[in-house]
Amino acid sequence: MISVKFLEGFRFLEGQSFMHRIDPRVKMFLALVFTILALLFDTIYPMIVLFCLTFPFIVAARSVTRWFQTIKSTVFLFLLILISTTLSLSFSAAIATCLRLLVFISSFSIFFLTVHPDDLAAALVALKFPYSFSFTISLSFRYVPTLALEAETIMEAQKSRGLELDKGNLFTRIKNFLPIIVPLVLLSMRRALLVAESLESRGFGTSEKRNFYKQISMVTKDWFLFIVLLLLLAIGVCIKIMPTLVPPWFLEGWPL
Amino acid sequence: MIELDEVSFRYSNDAAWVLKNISLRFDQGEYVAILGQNGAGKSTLVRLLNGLLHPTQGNVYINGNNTCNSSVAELAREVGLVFQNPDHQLFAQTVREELQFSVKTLAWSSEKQTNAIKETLSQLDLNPFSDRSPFNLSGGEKRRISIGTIWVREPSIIILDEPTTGQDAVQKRNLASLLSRLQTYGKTILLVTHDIEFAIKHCPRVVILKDGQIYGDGPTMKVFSNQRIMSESCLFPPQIIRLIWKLQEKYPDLPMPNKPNEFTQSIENFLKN
Amino acid sequence: MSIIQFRNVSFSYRTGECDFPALKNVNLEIEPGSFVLICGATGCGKSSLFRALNGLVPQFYEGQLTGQVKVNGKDTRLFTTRDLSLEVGLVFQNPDNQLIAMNVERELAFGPENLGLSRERIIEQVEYALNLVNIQHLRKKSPLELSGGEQQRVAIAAVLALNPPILALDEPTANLDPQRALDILTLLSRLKQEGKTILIVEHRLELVLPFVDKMVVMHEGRIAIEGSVGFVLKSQDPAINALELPPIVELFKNMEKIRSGLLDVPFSIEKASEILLAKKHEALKV
Repeated sequence: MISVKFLEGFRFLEGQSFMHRIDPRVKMFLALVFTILALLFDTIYPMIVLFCLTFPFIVAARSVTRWFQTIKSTVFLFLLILISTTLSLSFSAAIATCLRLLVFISSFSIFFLTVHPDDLAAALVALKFPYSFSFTISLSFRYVPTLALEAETIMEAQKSRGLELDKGNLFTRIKNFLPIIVPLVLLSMRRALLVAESLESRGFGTSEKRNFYKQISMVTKDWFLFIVLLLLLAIGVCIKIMPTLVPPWFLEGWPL
Repeated sequence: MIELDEVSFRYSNDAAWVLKNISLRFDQGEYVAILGQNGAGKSTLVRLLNGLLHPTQGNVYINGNNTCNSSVAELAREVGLVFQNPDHQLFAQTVREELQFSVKTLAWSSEKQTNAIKETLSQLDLNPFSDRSPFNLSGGEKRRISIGTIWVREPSIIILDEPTTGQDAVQKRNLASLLSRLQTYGKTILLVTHDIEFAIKHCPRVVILKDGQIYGDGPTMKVFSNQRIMSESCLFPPQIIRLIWKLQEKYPDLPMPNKPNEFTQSIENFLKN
Repeated sequence: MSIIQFRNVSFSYRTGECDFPALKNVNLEIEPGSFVLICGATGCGKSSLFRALNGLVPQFYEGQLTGQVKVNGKDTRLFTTRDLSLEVGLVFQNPDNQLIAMNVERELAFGPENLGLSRERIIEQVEYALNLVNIQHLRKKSPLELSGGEQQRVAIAAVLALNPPILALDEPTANLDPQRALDILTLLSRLKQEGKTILIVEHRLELVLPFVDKMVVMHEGRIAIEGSVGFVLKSQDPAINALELPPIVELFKNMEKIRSGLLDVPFSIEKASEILLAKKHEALKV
């Protein structure tokens, strides 16, 4: 239903585009604003507007191809939603739901495509989250590829002893993963101890006040985008509170 | 018997070639060290031999069968690959169970399985640990177990990937005598290593790999005493050989010994005449 | 005045099953600016000794520690690992478990950040470490992009960013091929020239011996022999048998039984050939 390609739109893309150079906190705000707006409305025209609004950001991030790979891989999911919502509600509600989902995907995609995990950690710190929280996230990003490589080596080692991971019924297949999981868990626990040793040896966790090597700060273009997003949010909230601001057909669904 | 016929390999179409036009042949019963720096292609070569990887170009034949026509599980019946880190394999509650897992996938009768396990435990001196957890044993013992988990399957070929890393002198000596003993059973043993001193002491033949190509292949002393091969492959020749070369600068008639255990005698003869 | 002092140090790990004695009455003095090798069979206590330098033993690894360990004048029972990290930097065997940041700069900044230094000092220390280890070209790289040798250099730099006078390394070349191992040893030798005291735990004696001022052989938790390399290699102590002696040393030890009168057992090709050529010259004169 959803292929692995779905993740392509959420994997960091190396680059120097306009969106890449925006402060990560503003990008977080972007995802938040679009999420709120997409939840405030549920009819088709506002969704179309929102969806079109995500476009300039995708283009500004020079990540149209990646974004498209994600969208392409969700086609079946969307068809399913389209059919089931049309049957239960209406065709226009179905389209609205699909578009809302697209808006979620696009706005988060912009965030993950253009925010390097390091910058994410720096953003969390700048937003006054506790350092341990930010460090945990960084450490996870750092070690996921290493653990994946370790898992691959373990699989090779066990395959070399005759283990076949793709044979047998469901129960057998699950049982066959035990020779993979046990070494992986044990090695990870051992690794955790060794990493802790190294952290301890460099004074980790001993200072209340921490100054950071890398600092992020907002510049003009960051504030500009922030204000634009704030305005967008304000307009959306106003329309929701005072529907008389817009012509009635805007907030109605199609007569289907 | 192992045969690599003009084998080249790369991981994807836009990646660099890891192995370039390798042709090698190992006869049954040989004991060969495959040497090279990190990144020379040794690990890739070894994975081509048990089907974990398939050649991009060329063919690999194990006992006459092309590896592309068999699954890894099928090839693992004949080619046993002992990985560098035993912790990547060990998962069972006891050493005996570890061996049982290894033979379970072979479709042997339960009598044959029991016998094979019994023999392996005794041949590898694992009887004292047979009902103990493999995780609490020392590095050297774990390595013996990991060799045991491959040995019990009775492959005709055993490949060991960097078995001497991190081992002290006593452990290395034990490993060397174990491998020599296993070789007397007629198995082909391939040792992938960058421990040149271990290779010169124990392996009759060496193959030297650099940048995915073969720079040397032949009897150990002959390859290691070839200055051109050693400098081109960027390996430090064994100390004794470098000593003889140094002495040969003043006394060119000093002969290079044919066997590593003849060194002491050679030097003593040198001092006498 | 020694920079490292062990006085009657004994340590037993408390593992729950039983107490495992790792160090037994260890006495050791190390002079500032020296390059010291600690070797011995697996399980002889070298790693415990190493971890006692910055208080990991007994603060991180619980157990009974008796005696006194003093590092640059600081008693390890009275100071935390954090304070001791300014005196001795520990580099472990596998760089993969030491490089925790997503790029080299951040890795080097990690130690100074932990200690709560000002941002200016942190930046200063990062530049200092990058220059000292000569890895400026790697500053923006992720650890996953680096080779084994480069990773180990970064691990060394990360510890040097705290500017400790002592650098202690536990089998730093274990995962490297001989060429890369030699690069690391050459770096350490240069750091010694810059005034650092280097302590290295190693198996691969052939590569290390030419760099070393003092050699300490441990056996079952005790120090069996210590002294200059020449002195230790000549020793008949059984602890020597557990060491992987360079082939040249073995050669001369074998010949020693027949040819006595050799003052020192050589461990380098140059020295060995010098001695043999001199002997040959003598033999020819007769």
